[in-house]
Amino acid sequence: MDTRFKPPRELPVSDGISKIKDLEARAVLVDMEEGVVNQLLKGPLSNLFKSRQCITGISGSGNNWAHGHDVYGPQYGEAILEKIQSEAEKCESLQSFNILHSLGGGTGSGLGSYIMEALHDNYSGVLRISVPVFPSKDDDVVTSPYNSMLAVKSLVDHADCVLPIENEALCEILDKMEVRKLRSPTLYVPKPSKGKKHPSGKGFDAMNEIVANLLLHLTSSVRFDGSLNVDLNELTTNLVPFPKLHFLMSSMSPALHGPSHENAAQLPTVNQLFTDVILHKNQLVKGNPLACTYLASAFLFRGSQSNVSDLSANICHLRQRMKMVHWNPEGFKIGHCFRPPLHAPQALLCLANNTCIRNPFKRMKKRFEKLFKKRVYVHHYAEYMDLGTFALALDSLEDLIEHYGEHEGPLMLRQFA
Amino acid sequence: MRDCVRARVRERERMGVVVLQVGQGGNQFGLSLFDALFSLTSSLANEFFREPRRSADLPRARAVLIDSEPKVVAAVKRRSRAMGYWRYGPYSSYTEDSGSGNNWAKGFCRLGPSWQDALSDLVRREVEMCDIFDGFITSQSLAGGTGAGIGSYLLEVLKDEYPSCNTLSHCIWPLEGECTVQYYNVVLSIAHLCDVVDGLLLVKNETLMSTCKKALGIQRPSFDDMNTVGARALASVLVPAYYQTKPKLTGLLKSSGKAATTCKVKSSDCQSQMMSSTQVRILSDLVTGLCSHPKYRMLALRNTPQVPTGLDNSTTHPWKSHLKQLKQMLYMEPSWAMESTSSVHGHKCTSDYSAFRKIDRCVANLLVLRGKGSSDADVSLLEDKALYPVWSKDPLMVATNTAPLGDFHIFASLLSNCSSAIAPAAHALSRARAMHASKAYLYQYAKHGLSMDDFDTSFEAIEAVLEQYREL
Repeated sequence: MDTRFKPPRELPVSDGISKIKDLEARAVLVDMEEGVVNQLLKGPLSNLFKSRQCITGISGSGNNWAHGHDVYGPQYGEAILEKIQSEAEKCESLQSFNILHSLGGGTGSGLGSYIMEALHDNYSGVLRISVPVFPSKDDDVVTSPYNSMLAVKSLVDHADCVLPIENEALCEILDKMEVRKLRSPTLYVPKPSKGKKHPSGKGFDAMNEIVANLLLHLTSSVRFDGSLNVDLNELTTNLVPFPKLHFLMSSMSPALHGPSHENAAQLPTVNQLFTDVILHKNQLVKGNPLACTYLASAFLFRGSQSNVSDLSANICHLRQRMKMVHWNPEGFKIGHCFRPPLHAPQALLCLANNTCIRNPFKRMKKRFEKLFKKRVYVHHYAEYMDLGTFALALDSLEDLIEHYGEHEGPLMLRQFA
Repeated sequence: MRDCVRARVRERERMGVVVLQVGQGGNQFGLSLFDALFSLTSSLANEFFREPRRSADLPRARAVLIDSEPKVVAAVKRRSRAMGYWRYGPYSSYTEDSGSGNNWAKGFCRLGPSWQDALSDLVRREVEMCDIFDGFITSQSLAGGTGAGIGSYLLEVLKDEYPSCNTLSHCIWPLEGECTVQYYNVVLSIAHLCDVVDGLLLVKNETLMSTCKKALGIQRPSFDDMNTVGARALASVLVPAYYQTKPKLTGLLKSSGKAATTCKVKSSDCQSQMMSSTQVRILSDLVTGLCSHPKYRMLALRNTPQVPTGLDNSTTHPWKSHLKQLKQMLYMEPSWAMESTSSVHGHKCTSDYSAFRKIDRCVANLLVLRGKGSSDADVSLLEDKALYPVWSKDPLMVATNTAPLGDFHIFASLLSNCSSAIAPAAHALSRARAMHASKAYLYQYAKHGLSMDDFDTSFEAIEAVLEQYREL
């Protein structure tokens, strides 16, 4: 299960049939405070995690990327790598590292960046997939604009594939589910959690459940049979045409439990899933991909009620609404896994490399510049790092925005013009 | 029957063909193929199947299953066992866990070489279980990394290890939008395969899907449905059929170089005394006769009917209408300009593309007719000189078998060395060039050792093939 302060850890990959007490997550949990990790080790899923998989500090990173990256990185780096090594050795064939972290604070972003760089050095042949939580505009961490900007540079340089998440987008998805619940009372909506809540009032548990579904869906082809298997390597090959343009918009339909099975008539058809998944309201990062250009996209379907002709037919229809980049008018990847998710009889995940990803980066840049103009809090960072790092990070972000911008524009081939 | 002919008949019965199934698409299709081969005739038991060690066991498919991840091969083997008529050999597969990431370069430049020894051994073991080895048929998809990349590499290796044996490559052409980098993989595969296989049979998923929908009324065909149609089509030229007269093969006679795993040596004495009815020797005759010219290797397969017709429902001249249908099919592949504007799911407006109708000119054709009266059928429609270039001597080979093909009382197949591949190959080439010009995805291929120049070489090779066929 994911937590708000996502420590970096590998995804658990198992058959999901054995009793939970026999399973151990392929994970390394890192946090510079003990509270969250200790909670996990005592909580309902405590059997999944052993204390030897955890590295904790005591005093936290003070919401300071530089503290996480330049102090704790060197301090804990070796120990972390050892733990990663011991988990990696247990894998017969290591596919990828999935790094789950938030970019607003100090540990997930700073130490997370350090770990990403170390993985690149030590395991260059293994995919590094990051699922970072981008800070929202009402983030309660004042230094989050600095932390996220500095972390993004690391993601640009060292990750193979990034699936950003914005809490605001998750909240909106949950909002819509609550509205739907008013109309159909049997609709399942996760109960608000008792613990810490997002400023919007939504529980983190519900939001994390959406992200957990994303990760489960992403790896479904690796775990189960299908007529068109898609593993993680295939995703990066197909969706990342240029090395630095590896930030993907993700969306799912349904994102969470759909209508209960008593209302079979309300179950979405496969066509409905396809229509839903490209809408801006279902994206896990705020943005409207239909208004921008697709460099490539992947549609991963789970369920056995539909087959390749349904998927292919829907792709044909969607193409008419999507602006594809001129050199890749048929830039689609289809995946089909027979096993549906636990929460619905069929589901669709769309991963899109779309130029609208510039928007969250532009927002990030704006927030950063607002703060940095007055050099607010900068002295905290100067304690641990060279201030030139900010300039480098800003350059990197601007390059990224520009590079994506090059593929936007009127020179799109409309396939059915 | 003269002794040498009796011996030759016996040898034919003991000849073996090894099928190499590579990648997900290749393995899924291979399962359907063996199923079709087994159910459509029993006399193939020795060519595509071998007896198990214990007679109580099921016959074993002469196959080698290869994939870069284990799930598909495991599922295919499980399904063969579950069907209960035949099965794959327990040690006839090679899988790893790495996946090839839809990356042709990873398959061809990395995984292929590192698996070479293991695959060679596996193939050799299967080949040695043939009393007389006729050659390979490969089943692979061109869209991904394993079937396309590792498949291409393996065929190069086998060309060296078995220089005198023939290979027919059954290549599945992907649907649009199956895979973003599919055009790179398709172009790279064809460019390499053309040099090492004898015949390249391209089968489009789109065509199979269309057949399922229009001819079979399956509204939402699955891959299984499509593979069943494709497998029946291929099996229809592989199961026994007989030439009326000895075909005048324009190819070179192949002689064996190795001891145990050789192809047959043709004795000219036996040939001259052959009876008028000669069995089609699956690979040797098929590919040597059809693909004797080194620059013309592209094959297409058409057949009719798609749905079994009862004997009572046959018209007075059933063969005439089927042969007419086959000839019309040579017109039916519209130019790519039309195909790209019509959706996968139908509606090819006949009045629209009549202006674009061009016949697929053929270098040579193998016509296989099955069912009552097949040996008397009038094949002159397909002897039409307009179909062939002037330099192609005796381009039409006709083989027949009065036995029906499974449920089909009457069945006609046309395996053509023809220009059907021009349109899709040209489309793939133009898409690949567009991506290449933008340098899209090239770093993924460069990571595994494939440079921009390597792409250029492949583009030129495809251009050369297209040029040849355009000149027909």
